[in-house]
Formats: sequence, C-alpha cells, structure tokens
Amino acid sequence: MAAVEQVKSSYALQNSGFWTVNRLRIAGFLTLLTLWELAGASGLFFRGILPSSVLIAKALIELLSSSAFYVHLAVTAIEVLVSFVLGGGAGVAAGLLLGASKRAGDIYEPFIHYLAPTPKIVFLPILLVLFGVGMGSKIALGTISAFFPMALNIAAGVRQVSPVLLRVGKTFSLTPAQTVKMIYLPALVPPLATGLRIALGISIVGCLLSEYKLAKSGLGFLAGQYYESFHVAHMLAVLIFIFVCAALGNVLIERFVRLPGQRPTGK
Amino acid sequence: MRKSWVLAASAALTFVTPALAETFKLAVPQRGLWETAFVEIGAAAGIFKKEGIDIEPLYTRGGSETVQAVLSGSVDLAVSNGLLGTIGAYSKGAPLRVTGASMTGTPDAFWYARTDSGIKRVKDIAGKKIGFSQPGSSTHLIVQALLDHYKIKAEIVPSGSPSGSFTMTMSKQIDLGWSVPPFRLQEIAEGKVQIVMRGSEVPSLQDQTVRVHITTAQTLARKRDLMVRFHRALAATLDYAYSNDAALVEYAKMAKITPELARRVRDEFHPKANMQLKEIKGLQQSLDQALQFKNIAKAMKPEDVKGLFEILIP
Amino acid sequence: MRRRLPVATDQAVSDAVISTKPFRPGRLPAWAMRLLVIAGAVGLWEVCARIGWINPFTAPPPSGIWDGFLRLLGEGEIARALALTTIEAFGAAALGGVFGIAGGYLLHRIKLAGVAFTSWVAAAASAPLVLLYPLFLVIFGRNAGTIIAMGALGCMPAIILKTKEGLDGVRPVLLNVGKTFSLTARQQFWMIQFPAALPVIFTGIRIGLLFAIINVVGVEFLIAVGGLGYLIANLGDRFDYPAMYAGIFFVVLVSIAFFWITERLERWLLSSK
Repeated sequence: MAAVEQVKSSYALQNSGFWTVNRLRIAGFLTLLTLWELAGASGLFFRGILPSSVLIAKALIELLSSSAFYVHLAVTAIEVLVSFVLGGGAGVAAGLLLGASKRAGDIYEPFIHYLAPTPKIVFLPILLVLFGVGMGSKIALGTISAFFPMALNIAAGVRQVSPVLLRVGKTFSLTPAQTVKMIYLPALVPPLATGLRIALGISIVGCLLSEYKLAKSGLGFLAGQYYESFHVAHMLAVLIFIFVCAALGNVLIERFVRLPGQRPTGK
Repeated sequence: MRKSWVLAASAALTFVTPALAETFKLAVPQRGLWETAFVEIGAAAGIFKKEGIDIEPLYTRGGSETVQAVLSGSVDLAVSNGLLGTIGAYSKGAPLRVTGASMTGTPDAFWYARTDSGIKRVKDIAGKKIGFSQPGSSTHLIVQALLDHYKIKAEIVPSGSPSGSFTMTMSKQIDLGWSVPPFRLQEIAEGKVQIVMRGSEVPSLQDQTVRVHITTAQTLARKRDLMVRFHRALAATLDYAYSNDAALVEYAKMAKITPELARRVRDEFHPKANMQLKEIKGLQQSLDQALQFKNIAKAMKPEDVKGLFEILIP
Repeated sequence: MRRRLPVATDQAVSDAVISTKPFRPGRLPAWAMRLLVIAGAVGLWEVCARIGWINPFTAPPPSGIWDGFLRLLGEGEIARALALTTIEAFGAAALGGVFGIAGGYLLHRIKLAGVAFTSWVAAAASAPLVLLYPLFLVIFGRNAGTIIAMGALGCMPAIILKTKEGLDGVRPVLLNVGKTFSLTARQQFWMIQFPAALPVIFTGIRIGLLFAIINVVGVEFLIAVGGLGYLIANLGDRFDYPAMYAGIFFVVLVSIAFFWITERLERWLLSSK
C-alpha cells in the first residue's frame, strides 16, 4: 500500500510545478558535469587525470566507432552473462535446498552466510593458474561472487513464506506441486529480483576487476591498457560506458521480474 | 574404398602441413617497450614466418602476471621476466625453465622530475621523495643501488606503474618519478619533465642479467622443436633490429613516437651489448639479491639453480 | 517433487518456540556436522596434495599452508596488514554509513528525487567504482586515505538504497497513530518513523560493512599500499603459495569475525529499543 501511495504521489508531483523526473535527472547530470569541470580546471589537481568532458566525449565517440571496442564488449558481456547464469542458477538451487530442508539449512547455511562477506578477488591468483588467462578465470570469479547473495536471498525467501498461507494451502489439500506453484513461487519473486540485481552487479564487478588484473581482452583489460599508456580520457570513457550498461541491466531486471498482476518489485 | 581416400588425404596433408605456420603464444609485460618490440619487429620483417611461426602476444601489466600466464599453460613463453622473481618461484617448486636472457644491466630505467621543481642534477635529490614501482621490483633494486652509489639519503616511495608514477610526480606527491622508454619521452621533449638520473649510472649492476625469457618444463618437453625455432628467429630479429632502420620505423609506429625518438630509445637506452640473449651474467649477484629481497629463503649458489637454465639461443 | 515441504503445523511451531526436542542418538548437532565437513575437506586436500592428485605447487597441502601461516605471524606481516585493513574497513563503513543514511533519507523525503535517482544509485552499486582508483590516488595520495574513500564510495549505494527502503516501508498505520496524537513532523520522524525503519537500515549497514570490506580488500589488491589485500597479491607475485593461501584463509576468518560482531551489535542495539 505504501508503494501505491508513493507512486500516486510521485505522479502528482510529476504534474505539478516545474520539476519533473526527467528535468531533475538532467539537472543532476549537469551538476555532476559542472563539478567535474570545476575540479579539473581548478588547478588543485593534476589536469592529466581530470580531462575535460569534451575530451572524454571525443574519446567515447572514438571508442564507439572502432570495431575493436565491440570485440572487447562482447568478451565482457559473455563473461558477465555466463557467470550471472551459472552463479545465480547455482545460488537459486542451493537456496531452495537450504530453505526447504531444516537440517540442511542448519548445517550448511552458516558456511554460505559467513563466506559471503569475503572479498572473492583474493581467490583470483588461484583461479588464474587453474583456469588460465582467458575468459575462464573471469567467469569462475564472477560465478563464485554471484552465488552467495543469491543463495542467501532465496533461502531466506523460502523460509519467510507465511505459515498462514501454507495452512490455507493445507486446508485446500494442495499437492506439493501445487503448493510450490501457487504459494512458494510467487513468494519467491521479490527475493529472486533482489538476488538477480545483486548477482548482476557482483558479476560485473568481479569480471571487470579480474580483467583489469590479467586478461587478453575485455572492457576491464581495455581500461587498464588505456591507463598504462596514459590515455586517461579513453579510460574514463570505457568506465562511463560500463556504468551506463550496468544501469541499463538494472532497469531490465526491474522490468522483467514482475509476474502479471503483481505489484512492481523493488524500487 | 573410403579407406583409401582417407589415406590419400592424410598423405597429401603431410606434404601440406609444414607450410602452415604454428602458433606461438607469448606473454609480454607492458606494450611499447623496445625490449619486447621484437614481437612486432620480427613479425613485420617476416623473420618468424620464415621459421614457420605465427606469434600471438598476450600483453599483461606486470612481471608476475606473465609467469602466472605461463604456469597456467595459457602461453608458451613468458617474455622479459625479472630473474629474481623467477629464481624465487623456482626455489618454491615452480617448474620453470629459463630459455634466454632478455636484459643485462639497467640502461633503460630513468628517473625524472618536473621542470618547475628545480631538481636538475643528482645532488638535488637529497631528502626528496623518489618513486619506484613496488617492493621487490627491479626498480626498487635500482633506486636503492643508485642512492648507495651516490651516497645520498632520500625517501623512496612505491608509486606503481609508469603511469601511476607520472601521476604522482605531476600531483607533487613525489619529487622524482620512474619510467622506461618510450613512456615520458614525449613529455621530456615538450619540456614538462627532465631526466635526473638513470639506471646505467650504477656500475655494479651493468654486468648482471636482470630479465629473462621463461617457459615451463612441460611446455619445453612438448614443444621443443617449436621453442628452438622461436629462439633462432628471436636471435635473428635482434640482429635485424640493430642493423636495419626499418625496425626503427616499425617500433615508432607501435609505440606512437617519432622515428628520431625511436632511434634514441634504441641506441641511448638499449645498447646492443645489453640485449645479448645467450648468457646469464652475474648469477651469484642475482642470487644474493634474491636472498636480500626475500625471493628465496636460504642462500644459494649457481649450482643450486642449475636445473632452471636451459638456454635455447643458438 | 516428492519430498514434503515444511509446513507450519502447531507441533512444528511449538517445537521451534520451546525447543524441547529430545536428543536423538546418532544425530549430531549442526555445529558438530559442520566441523566434520571441514575436517573431512581438509583431510581430503592433504591426502590429494601429498599423492599428487592435486598439483602441490598451485594447491599446497594444508600442513604447508599452516607452516606458511606461522611464518607470516612470525614475521609480523599479517598483524600489520590486519590492523591496516581493519582500520580502513571500519573507517570506510562509518563514512559510507553517515553519508549513506543521509542520502537515503533525502531520497525518501524528496519524493521526486527518489523516483529520479534511485535507479542511478542502484546502477552505482553494480559499477566497478574501484577502477576509478587513479582519480582517487591523485586526490588523496597513495595512502590509506584513498582506500577508505574508495571503500566508503563502494558501500554508499547499498546503504542509501536500504535506508530509503526502510523509511519508505514504514506502515501508514503507524504514521496515522502519530497523527492522532498530534505529533509534530520532527517528533513523528524520531519517535515513529526512524525506529520503525531501523531494522532495515541496520541490514543496510551490515550490507554496507560487507561491501566496505570487499572494496577495501579489492583496492588493496590492485594498488600496493598495504593491508591484507596487498599481502595476498604480493605473496602470489612472489609465488609463496602456501603463505598466500594462509593469507586468504585469514581474510575469510577476519570477514567472518567482522560479520559476527556486527550481527551481535545489531541484535543488541535492536533489542534495547
């Protein structure tokens, strides 16, 4: 209900006064741009590291019009997608098992719970030697990273299914399969959505950082190469591109993970 | 009937195959260095093709990463690797083999300061902050040796890659940054920074092989013929690079500098004698330094690391 | 799916509440099972590494790792690295917490801003902010300050989002109660809204600490300033794999400890409300 009221009031705001959502976003963007330019021109910092937005824009255009860039983009995209699917999928499976079985959950969930905050990048040297320098090690790191938040979210989601609903199901004599379909699955949509967003974000960061450290190709590798040759504007252009893609990815998940008739999940 | 087709086809193939080039994968730290430019120079001059080799370089951003690449089997050879690190890994059981020398002496490294800092000569660096890459690196070794040699006290600060060091110098976080050509040559030509001291000024380091080419025992056993052919082509490329100006043009294109600067990089910063491939010089000195920098746990003599070296240069 | 899913029967509920389950012989408590699993894994690793089924250079046997750990302790490296990483992680979480809660409050209070910018913040949470380190190095220098700043930036999006979620999710029923008591807006906020949002906000801070540790160790891994991340990267560079694995396990232990502490803290703070 709170969500519906909020949406209503935001629509109301959208139609009153000068500020609309889009105008506010443009204003926000322009403010950031201005701050950047001021910081660069102020002379307080080494200008080489804070190139003007004009230079960054030019670099971005150069990047987007070179075919080599798209090869790197494809490599990173594949790495992220595969780790997201593998890690997320394994996480969902593990989460379901742990949430459904009290015994399994009691024994094994603490492992996942306490390993989750470990920075997975520390495993990178081992993964590099095991899986080589190509996409394999990046996918491995992305998968391991994405597994944990998804497993925890799903396990918590399974356990949080309201006992009231389950009793209602029992009075209707639902079969286990029907229970899953009509009670568990809808209840799992919000944690699944949250898990997907977190898993995507973590896969992206994991793949990019490992590309930056040691890789043959990919956007992280490209950013590193540009920094080494001190083409800072190009490095920043790559990072901006990544940021925009991550934003789009988030928006897609938000739109997709919504069963018909349900309230929009997450805001 | 089908069987004879297969036999005929495979017979035909055995005649065709030698003409197809074999892929040779290299891990190369840092793109643009003259020391590793043989990759592009040799490829452009067709020297590797003549030995039936197709080079596939993998550019990394540091020394240990090239070793990781060769250990994982992703590449056949890790080029231009620090000898101390190699000895350290070997002493811990890594199945590495050194197949050739890459750099003897330290003529390429240099330290520079902003032109507006007033630091022009070595005597000006007393008490200042001097950058090197990271603890245990060759620049760490060289900068300490330089300070010892000149008997000057100054503070040394890890500053990362040439880019990182440049950023710190221009942000006045350190007074001297380190670099190797071709990096910073443009800024020097533009008068933004000036060279204050060079690695070549330490006499004790000039007869020591500091970087080598390495592979693993397994790769060497499996691909010995390919390895031998590669090293033959490598030696030929080196001769070519120092006798033919076309090599300079190719390098200038790759490093995005003028051919004149390219000549300076080759002749001033990489004298041919330092680029010799066959001999690992000053091994005992390297072993002593490896102990000092904790690459190895116990003192070692050349006999102890005999198994590490298998020079393939003709 | 043949297996019967757990259903909240009266028996199950009272079992959970009263915990008078009789100890069934042959069924070990969960913690014992966990120890068994760990011991089994370690034993298996030791044997495989010694026989050579696992490459002992790249995956040294646990006994070698233990030696490496003792070596690190003896040289004092690990204590120093631990101290530095701890200070940086808590500093980053504190900074990120302060700005994150403030940001989340703003996005909640100014509804239009919330609608406009929440997706930007969510995108920032998925972006590799760590790769902006050259910029931070220039501004803060090659020291712990950079790492704390980057850690703070890394955990802010999560805290902002959770704070906003918490404040947004306060049930209108509670707010209406406040109105019937004619509370001022300020009283309304501090007496009803904030306390009601606190559980979610605390989840945000816990997630924030998680992200702070991950970002801090990640940055340490990439830039050689010090701390556990650097230690692990350096040991890997030196091919001292036994000590590197020891370092990795140590990081795991440390993050477990941090997590446990913050969970206890959260429980204590919430229970005293």
